[in-house]
Parts: sequence; C-alpha cells; structure tokens
Amino acid sequence: MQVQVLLFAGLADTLGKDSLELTLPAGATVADLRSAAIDLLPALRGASFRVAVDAVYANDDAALVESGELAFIPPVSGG
Amino acid sequence: MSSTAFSFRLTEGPILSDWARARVLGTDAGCVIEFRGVVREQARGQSVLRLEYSAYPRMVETELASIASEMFAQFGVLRIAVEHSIGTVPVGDCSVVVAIAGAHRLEAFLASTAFMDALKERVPIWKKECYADGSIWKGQGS
Repeated sequence: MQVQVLLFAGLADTLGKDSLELTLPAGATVADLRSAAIDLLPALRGASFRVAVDAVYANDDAALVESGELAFIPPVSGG
Repeated sequence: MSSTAFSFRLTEGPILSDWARARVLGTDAGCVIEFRGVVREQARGQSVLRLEYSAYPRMVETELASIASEMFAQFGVLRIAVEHSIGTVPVGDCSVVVAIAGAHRLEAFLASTAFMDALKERVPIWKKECYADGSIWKGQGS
C-alpha cells in the first residue's frame, strides 16, 4: 500500500520536505513504517520521533491502513 | 458563560486577547486560574530574539481535548480554554494561555499545572528559538 507521512519542525528541516511517500506491504505496522522510512532516508536513523495515526500517538505494533493520516512527531516543545 | 467545557484555538503571532478567560467565565465558578506563558529573553545562556512556533493543528486539537478530559476527570474543574500561538512571537509577548474555571481554587491550580505539564509532553507544537547568530528547534538538537 502507498502511504504518505507528514513531517514537522526539525524533521522537516533535516529532510528538506514536509511529507514523504512510502510503499509498504499490506498489513504493515507502525514498526514496519519506521524501518521503511529509515531505509529510504538514512538521516532518520538517529532521529527521535513518535508516530501518529489519524492524529493519535500509535504504538509500534499498531497496524496501518492505507486511508490513515500518518505523521512523524519529533520531540514536542509547545508552551 | 460558555456552553462548552473545552475550547481551543490557534492564533497567528502573539496572544493579545482575553479570549480563553472569557470562554470559561460563569456564575458556577468560584475561581478562574489563567496561566499566560511569555517568551523569555534568556535560553541556556543565549539571548533569544523571538520564537517561531509550528504545529500539527489536527492533532493539537485531539491531544488538547484528551488532556482536558483527563483534567475534568482527575480534578473536577468546570471549564478549560486554551489558546496557543503559531508563527512568530517576540520576546516579552504571550504565546500560550490556559484558562481554567473551578468551583474552588485548589482544583483549578492543580489542573493548571498538570495541564501545562501534559501540553509540553504531548501536544504537537514546536518552538524554534531564534538568536542573533542562528536558531535551534528546542529539544531536537538541530
């Protein structure tokens, strides 16, 4: 399945874009998404980020669906 | 008085209004605690000129609503309103307001502190500290 991942703040600056597209096997999990993104973009390897699915933080074992809105969330610093 | 227990908005630039406080006022409240976060000049020994905030607005709303639900359940406060800046906020200006109405002051004070702790931990808003000689995304080391 084809997914798009939203990027923010330092992650977007590091990668020079505010989203990325990835192809994942059906049934892929959040952990698979992380691995695939790091394989595609080695600059992500040392980066700290959580994954959000449909605007909610997701655990590594959560299954992805093609229609979900995905985002990599670097350490937040609001306030 | 607002009919909504939780209210939220993002504002471009500094927060100049009393919107959040107005949202929580009501005759059932014995107190309103209004926290206003202000941009400090010094950060880790450097002089900050301004902050630049970015956000993931859809998730800001879901996370803030989730935190508010926790505060209602844990502290029994009546209403919560949050306003946060996006974009540029100069030193000395306000970038976040959390207004909480409670029947009594202790629960509102406790909820105010707990709310800001959770906001800084979970809500997808990012600040870039801008100095005379560069900038850094706080907490991301770049």
